[in-house]
Amino acid sequence: MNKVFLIIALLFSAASVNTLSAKELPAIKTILKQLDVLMDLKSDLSAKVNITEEKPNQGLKKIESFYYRSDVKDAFLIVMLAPASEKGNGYLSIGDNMWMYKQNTRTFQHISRDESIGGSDVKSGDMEKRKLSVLYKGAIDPKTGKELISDEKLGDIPVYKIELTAQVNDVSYPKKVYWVRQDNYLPMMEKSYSLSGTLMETIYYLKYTTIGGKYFCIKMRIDDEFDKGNKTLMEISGISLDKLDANIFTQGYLESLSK
Amino acid sequence: MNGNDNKDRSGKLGIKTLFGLAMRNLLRHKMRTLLIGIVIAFGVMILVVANSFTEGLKDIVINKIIVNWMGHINISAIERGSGTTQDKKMIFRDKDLIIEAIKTNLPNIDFFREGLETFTMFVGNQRTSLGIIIGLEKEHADIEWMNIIEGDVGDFTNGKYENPCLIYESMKRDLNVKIYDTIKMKTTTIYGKVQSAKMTVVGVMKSASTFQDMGIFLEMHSLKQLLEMKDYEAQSLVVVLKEINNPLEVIPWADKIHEALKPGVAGMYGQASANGKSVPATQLGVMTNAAELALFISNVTPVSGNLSLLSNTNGIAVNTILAKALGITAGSTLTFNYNTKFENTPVKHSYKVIAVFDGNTNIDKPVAILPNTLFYPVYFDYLPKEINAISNAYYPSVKNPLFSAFAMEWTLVPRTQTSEQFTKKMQNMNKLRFKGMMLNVSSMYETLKMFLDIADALNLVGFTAVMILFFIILVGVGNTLRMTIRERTREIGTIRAIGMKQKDVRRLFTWETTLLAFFASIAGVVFAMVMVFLLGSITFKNPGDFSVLMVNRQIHFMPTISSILQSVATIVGLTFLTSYFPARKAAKMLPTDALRGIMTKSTAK
Repeated sequence: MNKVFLIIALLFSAASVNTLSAKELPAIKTILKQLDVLMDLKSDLSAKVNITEEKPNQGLKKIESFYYRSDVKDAFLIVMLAPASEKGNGYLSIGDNMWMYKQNTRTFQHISRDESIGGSDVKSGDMEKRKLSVLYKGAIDPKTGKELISDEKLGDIPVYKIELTAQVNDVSYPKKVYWVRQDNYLPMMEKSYSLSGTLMETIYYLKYTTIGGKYFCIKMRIDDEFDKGNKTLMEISGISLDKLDANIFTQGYLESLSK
Repeated sequence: MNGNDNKDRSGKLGIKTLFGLAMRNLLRHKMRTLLIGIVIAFGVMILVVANSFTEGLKDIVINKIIVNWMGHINISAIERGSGTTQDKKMIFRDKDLIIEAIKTNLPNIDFFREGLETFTMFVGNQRTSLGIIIGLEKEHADIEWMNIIEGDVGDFTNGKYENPCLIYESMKRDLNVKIYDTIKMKTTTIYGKVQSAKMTVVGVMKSASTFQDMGIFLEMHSLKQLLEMKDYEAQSLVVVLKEINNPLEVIPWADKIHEALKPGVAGMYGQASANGKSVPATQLGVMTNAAELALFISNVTPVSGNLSLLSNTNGIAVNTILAKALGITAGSTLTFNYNTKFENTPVKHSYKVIAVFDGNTNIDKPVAILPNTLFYPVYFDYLPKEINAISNAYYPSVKNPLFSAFAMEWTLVPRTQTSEQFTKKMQNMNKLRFKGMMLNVSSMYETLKMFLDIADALNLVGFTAVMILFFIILVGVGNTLRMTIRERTREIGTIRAIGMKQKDVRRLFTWETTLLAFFASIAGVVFAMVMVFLLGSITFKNPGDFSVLMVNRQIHFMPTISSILQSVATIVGLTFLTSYFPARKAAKMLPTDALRGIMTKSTAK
C-alpha cells in the first residue's frame, strides 16, 4: 500500500514542483547536519531486523537478525537468526575493523564494507555509522552556481529534494538525491547513482516511529534499479535504547551465542 | 648361422643373426606370438592413455589456466594509503618503473601484459550473471589468441560501439544475448565507488576451460577509466617467458626480478614556502612505528618542538637548513608544493611545523619530514618524480643511518617456495594494516604447486594401477615363456650341439621376448592414440564439476613423446627382465640333456 502511495506521490511530485511559490530554501549543509543529528544516537541500541528479498524467478528470501549498536564505542554486532543456513553467523564491527563469524567453522574472518549480510543485498558497510555531512556536500548547478535543492511535494507532504555529491573518495555512491520532509528533515526517499551517473537504487523510507524522542525508520524498501525487479524490504522491531553490556561487542560474545 | 660371418670377434652371434633368428622363431609360433603381443599391447595402451590424461590435466592447469591468467611471473601490489582496512587498493601507480625492471632483467620474455580484472555483475536480456571483467590491451585482441568464433575483432578497437566487449559462449548463453546486443555491468572502482556501464558484445570466444567462462574482456583503457585508474597505473603485470617446459625453471627468473625491484626512498622535490619566502626542498616520510621513529629521532638533534609528535600528529618537522631559509620555528605553517610525475599537475599542501631538528651530517639539504600516515596518501594520489633522479634533491644513501627510518617507495614482500607459503603470504598481505605499498613477485611454480602435486599424485596412482595390471600380465608372459622353453628343449639341445654358446642361447630367448615386447608396444601406442582420439572426441553435454578436467567439454588428453618413450621403455624393460631368468635357465642346460628332452637334472629324476 505504502509502495503504491509512494509511487503515486512521486508521480505527483514532479508536477507539483512548478506550482510551489518561491521561498527561502535552507542550505544543503544544514539539512545534512540535521540528518546527522537525527541519525546520531549517543546511546546504545538493540533491535530485531527482518529483511525480505524478492528476486524475479527466485521467490522470497527472508532473513532475520538481531542488531546491537553502540555509537559511543563505534561498534555494532549483527547476529543471524534465520534462515537456518545462516543461523548463528554474525558480523562484528569495532572502529575500522569488521569481522564475519561463521558458526559452522567457528571462525572469524576479517571483511570489508562490501561484504553482504547473510547473502542479501545489504552490505555490512550500510550498517556503519558515517556522518552524511562528512561524506557528502550539496551538488552545484553548473548553470546557476547554486546548490541543487528544490521545494517539492511527495503526495501531500512538503519535501526538499536535495542533490548530493561525494566529498571523500571512499563512498559507495558518488551521487545521491534525497527527498526530506520540510518539517523535521526526515528522509522519505533516497536515490543513489553510480560514478557514471546511472540510477542504481531507490530507498523508500516507509514508516517511522519515535522512541525516547528520537525518530527511527522501522520500515524501508530498497529497489534495485540496475537489476530491475529486485526488491529488499527491511523491517525493524523491538527497538530498545537500554545500555548494552560492553561484552556484547566482542568476538567471545558472538561465539557464545552459537554454543 | 652358417660359418663365422655370423659371429663377431669374441665368437658371439652377431646382432643381425640374432635378430633374424628371433624374428624367425616369433613368426614360427604365430598364434602364441600374437596372443602375448596383444596382452603387452593392451598394457602399453592403458599406460599411454593414463599418462596422456594426467599430462592433459597438467596442460589445462599450467598452460590454459595459470599461464594465461597469471603468467610465468606475476607482479602485483596492495596499496594502503591511509592504513585502514577500507583503504586497500590492488594497484601500483607507476607501471613503467616495473616494466623497465622486467625488460632489463629478463632476456627471455615471450610477452608481458597488464593484468586488470574485477568481480562484476552482468545483466543481459532479463538474465543476470556474476563474472569477472578483464582488461585486454588492443594488441592482444587477436582472433587466434582470443579464439574468436563469432563477430568481428575489428569492432573491439574501431570505436564504433560503446564499450565493445568479448564474451565466451557460455556467458552469452547465460546472459541470453547475441552479437551486438548490449550488456549492463556493475562493479566497484578502486576507490570503492559503485560503477555501471553499458557494453556491446562484438565478439564471442570459445573457452578452453570452465575457469575462462566467467570472464568478459573489455579494452584496457576503457576498463581503467571505469575503475578510476590512470593509464600509467596497473593492477598487476603478467610475464610469459620463452621455452619454459617445467614450472621449476621459472623460479630463478622470478628471484632475479624480485632482486631487481628493491625499493628506493620515497619523496617529493618541490618548493617549501612560509613567511613570503620560498626555497627548493625535499619532502620525505618517516615511518611512525616505534622502532623506525626512534631510529630517526636518535640520529638527529632536536632544536625546537617535539619530534615524538610525528607519531600521532598531523604536522611536519623541518631541518634547520630549511627552517633558517624560511625563518620558521615550531608552530609556524609551511606550504609545500610540487608537480606530479605524469600529468605535471601542481600539488599544494600546508602543514603545521611541530619540530625543528638538526640533521647533522646525515641531512645536508633543506628537508621536511611528514609522518607516513600523512605522507603516503599524498604520495600515492599525486605521484611525484623520483627524487633519486633529481640532482638537487636530498636522497639518503643506503649507508646513511636514517635510510631505513624513511618511508620507502614500496615494501618488497619476501619470495615464497610453496603454494601453502604463497597462500599464507597473500592472506597476511590482505590482513596486515600497514601503511604504504606492498609489492609481490610470484612465480607460477608457487601458485600452482598444489595443482602440480595433485596431477603428480594422479599420475602415480594411474602408473601404480597400470603396473599392477602389467605385473599380472607379465606373470602370464613369464609362464608362457617357460612353457615355450620346455617345448623347445630339444631345439636348444640341437643348437647347443652344433656349437651355439650358452650366452647366445640366453641372448636369443631375451631377444625374442624383447622384440615381441617392442613391436607389441608400438602396436599398443597406436591403439592408445586411437583410443585417445576416440575418447577425446566425445562431447559431454553436462560434465558438471568434471568440466574443469575438460577442454570444450571434451576430455583433454595430451600424449607427449617423452611419456610415450618412458612407457615403452618401462614395458620393454620389464618384459626383458621377465624373460631373462627363464632364458638363463635354458642356456645352462647341458646339450646332451636337452637333446634327450630333459629340461633340468631334477626333472630328469
